[in-house]
Amino acid sequence: MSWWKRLVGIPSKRVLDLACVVALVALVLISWSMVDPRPIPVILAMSVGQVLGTLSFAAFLVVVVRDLRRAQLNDVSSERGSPAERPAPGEPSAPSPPAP
Amino acid sequence: MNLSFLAIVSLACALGAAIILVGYLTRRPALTGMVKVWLLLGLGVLPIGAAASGNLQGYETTKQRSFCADCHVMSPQVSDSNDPHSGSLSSRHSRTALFGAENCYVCHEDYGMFGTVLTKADGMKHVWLYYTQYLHVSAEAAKSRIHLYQPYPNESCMQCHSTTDTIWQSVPDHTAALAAVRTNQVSCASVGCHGFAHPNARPPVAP
Repeated sequence: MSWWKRLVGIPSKRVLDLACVVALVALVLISWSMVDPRPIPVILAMSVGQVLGTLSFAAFLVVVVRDLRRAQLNDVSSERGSPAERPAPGEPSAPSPPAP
Repeated sequence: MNLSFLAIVSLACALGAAIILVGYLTRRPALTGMVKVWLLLGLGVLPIGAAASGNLQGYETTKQRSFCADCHVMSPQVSDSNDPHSGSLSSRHSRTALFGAENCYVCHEDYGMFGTVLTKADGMKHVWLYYTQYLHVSAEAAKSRIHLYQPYPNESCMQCHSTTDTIWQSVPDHTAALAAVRTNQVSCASVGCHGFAHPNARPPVAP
């Protein structure tokens, strides 16, 4: 499952950059169908636009869940006294727990 | 350009989302909690608003006669519907408030349980056929090729003309053909009754 590891290892910023571009394409398609309501723009907006928009939002959710999980793992490891999990390259490190 | 309320909402949501997304892509801030909240708006809330209102508007758009007229092979039917002096069924119905600018859809809609979905699926088929077979066919030549898939169902007429009204039943031809009308053996839109619906209408041909 090397492809999965590679997919999970993609930095959050890169995923979000891609999601933003894909979402912009979807928004252009939707807007096009509003100002030019002919069959092709309307069909593209209601099919390709929907799929691209959903994919970009799903990518955002994946990043948020992944970051939350990483922060959670960091908390657990710091409570046990083991070294904190290292963030992926290009990722900001998770905030350290407040001093007691 | 005449934009409806839904179209304006969709465009406003799309514009708001685009501003956030372009701002993120150009400024490239660190992924703090606040940035993620902005991205939730730009990638989630506003695009969902744009898509939801856009879908509703798109659905309404596909019901308009002007939308059907975008395929040039429909122009004879649409021109007839738009003609206030035409006596065809489609033109007369287009002059009533219930049908109005949506008369193509109201008459050709499937009124069954999954009617809307089936009607839209048929519409997709028409788009496919248009771009694969009719794009370069003149409207005049298409007149002799376009036909219904099956006889026009009287159930569609009976959505308004119930056949139970006393005035309707007082017409001798109606009374004589009552059973045949209700069982689709005689079409309301046939020659000799009230048809054809369009000036160039042809009998249905099996696909």
